[in-house]
Amino acid sequence: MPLRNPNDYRDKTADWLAFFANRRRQALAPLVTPALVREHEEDPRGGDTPHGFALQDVLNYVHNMPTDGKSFAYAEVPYRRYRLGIMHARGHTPTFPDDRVFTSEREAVHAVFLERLCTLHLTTDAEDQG
Amino acid sequence: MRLAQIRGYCDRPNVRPGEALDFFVSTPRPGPCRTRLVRLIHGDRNPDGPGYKEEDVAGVGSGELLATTQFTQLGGHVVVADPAGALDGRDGLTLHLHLWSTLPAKRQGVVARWSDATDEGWALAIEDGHLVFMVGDGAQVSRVVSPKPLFPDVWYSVVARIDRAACQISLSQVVTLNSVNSRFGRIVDLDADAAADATLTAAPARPDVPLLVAGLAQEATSGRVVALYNGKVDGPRLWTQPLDAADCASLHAGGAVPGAHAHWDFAAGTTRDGIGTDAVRDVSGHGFDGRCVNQPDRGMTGWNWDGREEHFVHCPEQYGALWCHEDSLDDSRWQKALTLAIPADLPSGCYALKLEQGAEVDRVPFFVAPPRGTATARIAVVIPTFSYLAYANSQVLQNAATGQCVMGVLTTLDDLDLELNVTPQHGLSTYDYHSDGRGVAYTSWRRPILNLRPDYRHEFGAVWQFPADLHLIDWLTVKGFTFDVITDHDLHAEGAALLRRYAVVISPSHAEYTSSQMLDAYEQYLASGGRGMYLGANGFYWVTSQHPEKPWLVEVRKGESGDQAWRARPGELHHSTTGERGGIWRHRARPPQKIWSTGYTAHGLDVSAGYYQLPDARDARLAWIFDGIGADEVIGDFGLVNGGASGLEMDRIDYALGTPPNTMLLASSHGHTASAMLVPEDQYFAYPGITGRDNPLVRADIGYVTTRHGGAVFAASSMAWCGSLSWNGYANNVSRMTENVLRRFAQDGPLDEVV
Repeated sequence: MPLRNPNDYRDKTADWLAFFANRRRQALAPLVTPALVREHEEDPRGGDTPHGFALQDVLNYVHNMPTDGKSFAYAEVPYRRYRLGIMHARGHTPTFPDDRVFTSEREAVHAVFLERLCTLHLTTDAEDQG
Repeated sequence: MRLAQIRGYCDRPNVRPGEALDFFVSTPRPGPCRTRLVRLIHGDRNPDGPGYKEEDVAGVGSGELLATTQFTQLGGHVVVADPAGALDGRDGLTLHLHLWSTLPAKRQGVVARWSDATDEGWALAIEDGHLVFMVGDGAQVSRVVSPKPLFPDVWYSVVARIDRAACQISLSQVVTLNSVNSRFGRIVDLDADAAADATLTAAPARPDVPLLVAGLAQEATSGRVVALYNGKVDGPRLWTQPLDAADCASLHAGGAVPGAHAHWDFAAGTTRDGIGTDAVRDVSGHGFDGRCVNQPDRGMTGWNWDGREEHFVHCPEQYGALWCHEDSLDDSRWQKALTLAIPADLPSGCYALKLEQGAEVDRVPFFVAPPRGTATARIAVVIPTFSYLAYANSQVLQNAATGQCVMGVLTTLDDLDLELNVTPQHGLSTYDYHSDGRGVAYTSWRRPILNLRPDYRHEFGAVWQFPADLHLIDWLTVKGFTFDVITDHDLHAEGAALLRRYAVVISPSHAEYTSSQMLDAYEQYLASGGRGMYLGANGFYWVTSQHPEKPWLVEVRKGESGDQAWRARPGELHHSTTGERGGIWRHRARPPQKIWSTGYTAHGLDVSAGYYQLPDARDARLAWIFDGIGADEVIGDFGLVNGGASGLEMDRIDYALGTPPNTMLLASSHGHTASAMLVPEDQYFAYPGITGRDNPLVRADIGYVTTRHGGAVFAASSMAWCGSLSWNGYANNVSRMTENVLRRFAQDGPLDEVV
């Protein structure tokens, strides 16, 4: 039967992506221990001490998610005042899920990491890891 | 959070004393705005550094202007004037074209002589995925809608007709897919041809609007264009009567039907130098020539491209398409706010017109070179304005899912980044995608460029381009060097003659985008006794061309390999503005190693490292470079840019790629992370082990080579190098080494050969 309407067809690779993401979560979730979270908190970039392989694996995963709904550190006053922000699609204003203020970029980036762990279901509760 | 404020731009980046610059200003809150001229010294507000520095230039540019809210027209389209209404269709009309729609779900005008606010005229458009042809007289609209929706990225032949005698309008679409020209190929059992007609209830009115390709005129007075089209259009033709069924079938089959009253061939005018013009030719001979606005993509494969010829200059008949995007911008076209006369005695340097409206501040940078034909110092810094353009208004981390993977850091964004995300009127960079997924190939100076502000910390997570280059400007100033500032735009225009006025030329942090004229100039200069200091990395990397009619616009085509945000489609790797092949200079037989001794090898955007001295550092002939530096010192394990002098992007010596055989390898960096990556062009089969932890090519090399006629090149090979110059009150080994080399290079007399 010929194809007449492009809207009748969807991108089936979404099925694979969902399967893969689930398998990846299963593999990574056990790595997210309090020690790993502390490792990130102490040095988000790994500039002082290179990140261990577990943290690197987790970061590779949490870095790669769609930008619509993706958390970021908002430099409200660069070098002095930061908040947790959520980016949305081009043309849309970002949102701020809470009123927390961080006085260093390091703290803010760690908060982003915790939010990302929660959003991507690598932890059940980000606060428990914090 | 401030997402909109007073903003400005100037008409070009470079100016000489005695010349003038035009400035354009817009504000969301119309009212007075104070202006003054400032000289920029250091922009990075990192508290670990020397802090922000600018100096007022008394008596120049100081005043007040009345700022208004200015409109920016986005979207690539073509305007064809028709004041006499010859194309109004009142006696009948047949329109034929080929189209390849990328976002058919949006409402878009394809070809129209139509006033959208008053429903007057005629228009071929797309609505809810379907082609629609409409005719209106302001009171009523006749519409015919194609019964079958468009498949995106598939070529169609389209015919629309007005038959006054039959009181009918009609629309037909025929798929013209081949093996290469569409998203999928011939094995798909596609049934997407369609035809429909409807009753014509009234003749089309004749609004006072032009004929447009790729949009709809909003109405008669404003000149604004709405419903901008995303996709390709090829060869629109128009007859001022309804053709019969046989002729329409011939058009769909690719045949020619004589008597067209207008025929726009978007490839007409192609020469071996490309099609670097906004002119659109009406090849029917009736004089309905048009003009492109906002630089639609030219040199694009057309409906009949068969994939055998990949260079549009050799086969223009298969490259008849324009690719239009709703978010293209080649010029904001604001009304001029003021003209700034540059005083004849203004020293060469980096300047900005500072705009202040209440608490809002914007600084519009520009660069003053010395008076034409002269040099006022022995040292020149070449400000990489082509590279600034390439990155202008980049918004990668806001839009690209893998952006953080590349950077290796969780993103920090500030108000400038958020303003870019909600303000399409500022346009995009060559690191971004148009809304239809095509990489951005053209970039303009004539718009507010927010990441060109001196104190901006880039979305990439570190200072980048202009703010990073100010690290060098500050260091030169503090160290008491007298230097001239020249730009890529000056160099592109004047060539080696410009450089030969100087004993030493410095390329700062990231001169990534280079024209062939600029490469020639550097090569000729360095081969004739010139001294070059390459204090950056990933320089001289991308083939970049300047538009011959619009020098404020440059073009890139990201190629088949390279460290890149997008890739040109098959058959579209050649620049429309010059006809040359795009991509990286390495793939044009001009790797940077041939001129500057080092070339791009890796990026490490999260953490920077120091350099470890290697055996050549102990060569007695080079002791002067290491004067004041201990043999066991790590060079630059400190700095404002991610904590080290080697980082962001890095270059290596590579004798196989053209590093001169006598180049000395003084030191190389070590300690890069698992997020630091080898460049794609050095990867053949993919294999694990290409990171900073485990691949020896992930490093920066400090190189030194003496050249012909007493010249030399010193390469620091890192974008982070200049960020270490001010560390510890400018007392550090990066500063010391740079000073040792610069003072030696700036002296009279040949340098001792090292061979």
